[in-house]
Parts: sequence; structure tokens; C-alpha cells
Amino acid sequence: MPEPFNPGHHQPQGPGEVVPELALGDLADTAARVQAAIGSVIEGKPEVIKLAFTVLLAEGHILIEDVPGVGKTMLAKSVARAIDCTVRRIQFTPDLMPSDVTGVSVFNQSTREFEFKPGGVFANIVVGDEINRASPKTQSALLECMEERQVTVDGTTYQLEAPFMVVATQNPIEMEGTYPLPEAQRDRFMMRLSMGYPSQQAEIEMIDTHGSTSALDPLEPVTDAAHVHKLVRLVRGVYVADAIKEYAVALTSATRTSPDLRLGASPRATLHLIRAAKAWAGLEGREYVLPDDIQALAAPVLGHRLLPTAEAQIGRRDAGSIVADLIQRIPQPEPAR
Amino acid sequence: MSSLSAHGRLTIVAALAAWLSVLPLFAITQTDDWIVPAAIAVALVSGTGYVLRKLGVPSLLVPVAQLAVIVLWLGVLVANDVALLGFIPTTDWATRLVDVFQEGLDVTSTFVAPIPVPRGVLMLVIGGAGVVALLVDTLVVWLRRVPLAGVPLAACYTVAATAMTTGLDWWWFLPPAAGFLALLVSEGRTRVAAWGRSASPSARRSGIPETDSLARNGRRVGAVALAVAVAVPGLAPVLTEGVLGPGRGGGGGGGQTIRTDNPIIDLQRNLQRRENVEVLRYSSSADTEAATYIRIVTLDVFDGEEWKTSDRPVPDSVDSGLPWPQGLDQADWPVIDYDINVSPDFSSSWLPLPYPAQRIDVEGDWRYHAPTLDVVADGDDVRARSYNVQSLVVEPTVEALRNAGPPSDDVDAMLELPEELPSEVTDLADDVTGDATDDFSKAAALQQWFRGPQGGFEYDIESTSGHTANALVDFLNDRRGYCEQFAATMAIMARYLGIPARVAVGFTAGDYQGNGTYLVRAHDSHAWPELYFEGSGWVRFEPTPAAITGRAPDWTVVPTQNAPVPDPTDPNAPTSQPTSTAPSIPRDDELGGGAASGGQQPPSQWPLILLGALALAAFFATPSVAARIGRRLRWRQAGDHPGALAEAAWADLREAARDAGHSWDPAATPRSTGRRLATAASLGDDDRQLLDHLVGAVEQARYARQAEPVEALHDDTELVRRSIARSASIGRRIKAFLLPTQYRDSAVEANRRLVEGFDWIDATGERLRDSVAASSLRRRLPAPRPPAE
Repeated sequence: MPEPFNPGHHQPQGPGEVVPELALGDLADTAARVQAAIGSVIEGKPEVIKLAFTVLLAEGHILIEDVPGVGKTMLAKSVARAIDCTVRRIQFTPDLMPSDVTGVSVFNQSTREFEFKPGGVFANIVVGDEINRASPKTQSALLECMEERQVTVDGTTYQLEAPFMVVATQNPIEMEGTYPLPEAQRDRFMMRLSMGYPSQQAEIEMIDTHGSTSALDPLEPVTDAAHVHKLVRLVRGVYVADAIKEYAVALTSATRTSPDLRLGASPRATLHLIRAAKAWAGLEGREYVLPDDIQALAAPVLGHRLLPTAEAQIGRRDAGSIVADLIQRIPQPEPAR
Repeated sequence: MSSLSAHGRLTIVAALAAWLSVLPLFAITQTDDWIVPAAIAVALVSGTGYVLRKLGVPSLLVPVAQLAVIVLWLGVLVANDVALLGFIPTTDWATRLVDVFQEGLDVTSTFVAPIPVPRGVLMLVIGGAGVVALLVDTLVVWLRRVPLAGVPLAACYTVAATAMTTGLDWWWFLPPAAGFLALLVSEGRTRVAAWGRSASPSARRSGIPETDSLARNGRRVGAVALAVAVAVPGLAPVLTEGVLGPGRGGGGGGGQTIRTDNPIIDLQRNLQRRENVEVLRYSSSADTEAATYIRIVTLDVFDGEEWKTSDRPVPDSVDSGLPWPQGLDQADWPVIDYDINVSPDFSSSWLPLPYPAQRIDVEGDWRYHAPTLDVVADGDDVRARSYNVQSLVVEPTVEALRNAGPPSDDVDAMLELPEELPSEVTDLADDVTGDATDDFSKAAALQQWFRGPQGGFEYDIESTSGHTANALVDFLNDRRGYCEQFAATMAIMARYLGIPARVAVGFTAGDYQGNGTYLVRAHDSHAWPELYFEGSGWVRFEPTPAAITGRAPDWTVVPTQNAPVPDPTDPNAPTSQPTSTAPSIPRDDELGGGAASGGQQPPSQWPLILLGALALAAFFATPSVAARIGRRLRWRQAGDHPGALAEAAWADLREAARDAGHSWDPAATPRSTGRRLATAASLGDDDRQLLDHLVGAVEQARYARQAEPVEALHDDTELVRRSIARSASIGRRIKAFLLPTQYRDSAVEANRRLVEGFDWIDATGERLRDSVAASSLRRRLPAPRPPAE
């Protein structure tokens, strides 16, 4: 059970916040340590780990869509463990109620007052397992928390912890008794990741290391939530040049006019893309975003928001490859001469 | 619109093309009334072909019939009075045709363009048009070998271009080329049409399948090709006055006008003029016998430096006639009456006259100098004057010249020479005339030596001007010069040998224009020596080689026992009509000779070749030098602004990469561009580091909050640039040198604009056509009736 809830513990600071005395070098250091720690648990998936950490720093949420047993939950848990922060897991089932997610006020006989019992969402990292199994009502309760980073119960608003990240998993092959996330809901996730099967080598090593003990046991935290929160604020200060903004907008606009796509990327997608790119640049120890960052993140950030046309699907062209095509075609903004 | 068979369309287009191809002949004929009969000839040929083919006459017979029609038409034009009913052939008719044909050939071989059009030439022109039409018709309609039709279509243009000594203006190329293009397009459409019918409305309307896009492409390609064909030769560097400023012979300031203030300087200038400006026309009652040299002035003093006119009082007006020529025996010499019309382009205070003039009918105060019969006006000008001259025709016999006694005291002054003549001159004079006993034989020997193979002289209009003692020796050493030097040298030698001599400056007889008229132009400018023989007076000699002047005067040629005529170069030229005139040679020399100027040294070819090579090298190096300058400018403009400097480095890199043939993807980020380039150019580790440096700089400049100065950016860029250039193949490098990428891009862009322009013209044309068709359709529909009340 989680420790007693202490609202306002991690109040996000206002606009006049003090610039943290951290340098980007610290960010890169911490990132390397965290990635190494997670890497010791999730073998052979450095790029997924990096993307996950990027989302954490960019204050976004992850949707992991993959078959069972490839380590979706393990990824979420190891991120939480490596950072020494709270993690809660909510197993989504058809009978899960919204109050199970947000929390509920109960009457305390001894104090004769209503007391708030926080739901599963009150943690730094929330793992929403098999999110498509819950009813849409419960899904949207979680999704509202994700967007607003606060919970309102009985007229009282409770801030969620910072950093706060939801890692939702979704099983694409089971169709019976599921409520797949509609496009509008998917749009709220910054990235959709796919773990994929490990390579043969990685799987063998996994047997050796984790065959007997729990994989998470040897994982020691390498940083804490407060430090990560400082890093998040550091990432906010990464510079985005006008050329980069132009390029990102050109890319998302192109998805809206592409003949291969039924639905293009939303303005929120552009926003997410830029935020993710800032975190990505920060992870590299860079003070400014490069178009390369945008290109690297375009598929994970935009992929789950796009709906390919029937023709494209028949042609076996998924959203990822369509985005890759667009990247090949959209010219870099040239500086004015 | 009535539909027309493919045959009919091709026939019409072929006829049109043939007619267009004849138009350049306008440039070489004086009148243009031949165009109507020529058009009729073309129409007759095409019509005959069309009808006979429609009737199913064997194809082989069609050209024969067409040829017959041409001949009949020519007969109607020139021999209708001797034919039955005006066109049915008779024997006289045939004789007449052959005669007229011969006449035409004579005229064309005699005249310099533009030629008059007597019936003989008319027959040639019209017959030519007919034959061109026949060939085009045969090739296009029967044999369907349209590209080959270009050969007959080019025929008239070629004739005109070769006939015009001054060159044919470029626009004459357009009509034949346009006709040829029309043929190509038309044939292409017909060929496509043969594949079947089309359902498009325009195709139904015109009766031919939809081939518009084909035609548009054809027009587009054709128009571009035509524009290039006309423009490129015009842009090619040629050493002319236009490019290098007025040349020595350009007549600076004078414009078109020919002036004769200093006769000797003007002489060479006139000969070197690019345009053969008309000087005067003269005509006489005596028809072809009247050809005569026209004198302007006589140079009768040689001061050791140059020939010039003596100080001469001219008290007597020409109104009361001129005195008897000096030294000529009184006899009943024939008199010829000349009407002389001076062109407005010729300005001189000397009156151009035949020698010896006896009576002049001219307005103004003109005065003569008795010994030379030169006529000069005080403050008057001969420009655009017309006057009448009666002149003696003095043709002394060899006998009379040989038996001439010692010259009278009157002409003693004409023997004066400076004390010291160069020994080369005197030695040569003695050598050449060693065998001769009398004065005339010596003179004739001199002339023959200058003209004949013994002397080995070459005519060269570009040779150093002047006739001073030094120039004299140079001329004798080099054996190259033009008429003035021949004349001056022969006159000096003659004086040395004791024969009174002087130099006359003026014009050769000019070109016969028909109707007893001669046309004298700037390139006919000439100088010749006159030698004095007692009883015959001043006799004209002609030491300048025959290629320029035609035959020497009859009386100056000594008949010998062995060799009949010492004039081997030009046996065919008729005495009275020098057919080849100066222009053909000076023009050729002029083209390459702009650089070989001045100096007393013999003009060597080397400076010229060197200059040409340099010019060629400069021409080819220009683009890459310009590109280099562009790069430097870019860096300079960047100043010390780090962002601009990084962009300059990046632009350099882009050009280098594209020059080396590596692709430059506009969608790629600087980083990935750098990676690709390093792989494509297989750069070494050092170069890769430098390249990373550049990439970092441009990333900083474009994406960072503030661009920071980067050290040694220019040097690094140069190094990387060179490494990339080295990675290219030799062919690539040459290509990049000749046409750097940035100019290739401009060219591509310009071409795109051009093609768009053509498309626009095309679309506009189609819209116009449609709207015309629509309006004619509306007219044909009955007007709507007013509604009944």
C-alpha cells in the first residue's frame, strides 16, 4: 500500500520559477545512468528505454502496444525503480470503476470527517495495464488525469505528483471484450512504443540473469524524483529555433494533406513533437533542437495518431513508413539569404 | 470545317515550306517582283502533284509531270510570244528558253549580289523555286522522308548566304527553318493519326485525331531549337569591331560615310570596311565598253617618306572645259559620255572622274589642275552629286609606247626622287629590268614582276599601311601588301629607271549592273601607277595581282615569242569587267587579323594563335572563375557574422558536392548530409573531422540560440572542398570546371521559364482558336426569334 497521501507535496512551480542550477551535462549523466540501470533489466532495447525516458522528461505519457510478455510492465516498473519514485499499477478490467483510478472520499468514524482515499493515479509513474479492457468511462477518468495532472473529487482538487507519467499498455491481438482507445484518446499519449521481441542473444542472456530471481531485485535507484523534476524543468529551457518550428509544422501539415492518410496529426501532435525533441536534445547534452531530433521522434510521436487509408493498408504501408516517406520529402527550411 | 486528307495537308504544308524557303533570295536580288511568279510555280507543282496522286497516276510519273509543268510555266513567262497559244512549245520556244537560261547564268557569274533581275535571272529564280517545291513535294508526300526535305529547303538560303559577300542577315534563316518545322510537326501528326481515330471534340472538329499534345511538344522543341540556332552564333565571340571597338579600318567617327581627306589613309580604310558601302554609280551610252577606273586624286610627289600631292594652284574653272591631257598626241580619240551619281555616303572635295576628262557638267565651283586633270572644289563636296563627264578613251598601242621618244622637259619634275633610295629598291629595279632596252619594256617588265610568279607577291589588305622608305623595303622583303604599296613601289622604281611616274588614287571599274550602269563601292578603292610616255601621255599600269584587279591593261603587256600572256592567274576575266573585286580577300583577312597590328616587323602568326588560345581559355574558364568570385563574395558579405559565415561554408560545401556529382538532398538535415557526403566522397578520417566541424558550425548557426564564432572555418571549408573535388572522376571535374553547378541550376531555371513561356503562347493560341471557332459557330446558328406577342 502507498504511504499516506500528502497533497501539495510536489506542487509544480509557476512561471517565475528559478532556473535550476543544473547543467545539461548533469542531464546527460543522469540519463546515461538511468538508461544503464533500466538496460540491465530490459535487455537489448536501448532505443525504447531512451524514448521512454524522453517522454518522462518531456512530461508526456506512453502507450505501449505489444503482445503479452515482452516486458511492457517490466519497462514501466524498472523506470520507476531506477528513479526511486512511487509507482502504481492499475490493472484495467471491465468492472474497474473511475473511483478506483482517481480515489474516493470515505467517512472516518473517529474524526467524523470525510477522508480522501487516493486512487491508483497518485504516483509518479502509473502503469495502466491493458487499458483497452476497461469501460470507456473508466478510461476517460484516467485520460483526464493525464491531461490535467490533477484530480477533483467532491469539489476538492488534488494535485498529482511530479514527475507524473502514465504508461498504458494495450494488447493488439485480443479483440474480444475490449474497448479500443478511440483516436481522440490516443492523441493524448505523447508516444506509442512497441517493445518488440528481444533478439535471440538478448533472450538467452535474459534467461541467464533473470531465470531464478526477480529481475527487478538487483536494480538500485540511481536518482530520485526531485532530481528528475529539476531535469524536467531544465528540458523546458532547451532552445527551439524558428527553423525547427517551421520544420515540425511542415511535417505535421504534410500528414494532413498526404493522400495515404485518412487522419493527419493534430496541433497537439506538433506540440508533443517539439516537447519530445527538446527532451531528446537535452538527453544528448545539447542546448538546442536539431532537425535530426525531429526526424528521430516523428514516427513514435506521430505514428499512433495517423489513420492510413484503405489503399495504404492494402499496400502494407503503415503510419510509420508513411511518416518516413514524408521525412524524405519535406525540405529543410533554408535560412533567409 | 471541311476535313482534309493527310495527303492534302502534307501537300499544302510542303508547298508553304518550299515557298518560305525561297524568301532568302530577296536578300540578293535588287527587285522583288519575282515572288508572285515563283509562288505560282510552287502552287502549280504542288497542285499537279496533288491532282495526279488523287487520280492514281503512278507515283514515279508525278515528279516528271511536275517538272514539265515548271518548264511550261517558265515558257509562259519568257517565251509566250513564240509559243502556240502562249504556252504550247515550239522549236523557237525551246531555243528561247535555252538562251534565256544561258543569259541568267551569265548574269549570275558576272554580278556581285545584290543582282538585278533580268529575265534570265527571273527564270533561274522561278525555276529554282519550282524545283525546290518539286523535291520537297516528292520527299514529303510521296516518299514520306520529311527530315530529308531539309536539304532542298536549305538550298536557297545557302545560295543567298554564299552570294552575299557581306554576309546574310540572320533573320533570313527564319522562314526556311519555320517551314521545315511546320513540315516536321505536320508529318508527325499525320503519322500518329494513322494509328486510329480519337473521340476528343477537337479531333472530331478538325477531322484529325487528337495530337495536340504531340504538336505542342513539337512546337516547343522546334522553337527552342530555332532560338538556339539563331542566338548561339550571334553570341559566339568573334573578333569584330563590335567586340573590340572600332578597328583600324573601321572609319571611326565617320559612320557609314566614306571621306577622302587623306587619300592614302582613306584607301586602306575603305578596303577594310566591313560594309561595302556604295560610293557612286556611273553609266554611259557606250554600254559595256564604258568600264573605266575612276580617279579621285593624283599623287605626284615622292618626298622619301610618302607619295603626296604637289602644291598646286587651281585657277581655272572646269566650266569652259579641261585642257588636253599632258603628253598625249593630238588625235581623234573616241569620246565617251558618262553620267556619274555619287552616293550620299561618299564625301570628298575631289571630283571622282575617269581619265582623261575633257568636259565636265557639274554644279558648283570646281577647278582643275592641268597636268593631272584632278578636279577639286574649294569648300564644296561631291556628296550626293550627279554630273556629266566627257572623257577620252586612250588606248595606246605597244608599238607607240615602245617608240616613244625621251620625255619632254615638262615632266622632269615627275622624275624627282630623294637623294638616297634604299639599295634594295634600286638593286631590284635594276635586276628586274636588266634585259629591257627601252623605257616601255622596263615598265612592262616591272609590272609583270609584281603581278607574276617571279615576284611572288601576295595581296594582303592587313599589311602595314604606308609607303615610306622603310615600309618600301619591308614590302619588298615580305612581298605582301595591297594596291597602294604595289603602285607606290612601281612608281618609285620607274622614276629611278628614268620613266616619269606618279600614283593615282581612286576606284576600279566596279560591278556591272545592267543597262550600262556600273556600281562602285568602298571595296573597289584602288591605287595604281601612271607612267609617262611621250605621245601617249600618262599611261595606267597595274602592278597589283590579278586576283584583285583583273587583267592588266592591254597596252602594258609586252607580247613575247614564248609566253603568250604573262598573266596566268586570271585568264577568264573579261577585260572590261573585272569580276572579282577587292572585298573577297580583305573580308577573309579581316576576321582573324584584328590583332596583328602595327610595327615594322613582318606580322607573325604566333601572337594571333596565342591570343586565340588565350581567348578560348578565357572563354572556357569564365564560368568557374565567376563561381570562384561568387564564393569569395559570399564570404566577404558574411563579414564576421558567425551565422552568415557558417552558411557561406555550407553553400561552398553544397556546390563542391554537386560539382563532384554527389546528390544534395534538400530534405536531409545538415548532420545526415555530412554523413552521406563523407561516405559518398569516401573521405578520410581527417576530412571527416573537418566535415563534422562544418556540420557543427551550420547546426549552431541555424538552430542554436546564438551562433558562436567558429575558428578556421574558411580554411576547413577549403580543405573539405578540395577533398570532395578530388573524389570526383576526371569527367566530372571537367564538367564542373566548364559549367559549375550554380550556373547549371540557373540554366535549368531559365529553360524552365522558357518552356513555360512557350506553353503560355501555345495555350493562348488554342484559346483564341477555340473562341474564334465558337463565335463562327454562333454566327451560323439562326438568331433567336423574338417571342410572339
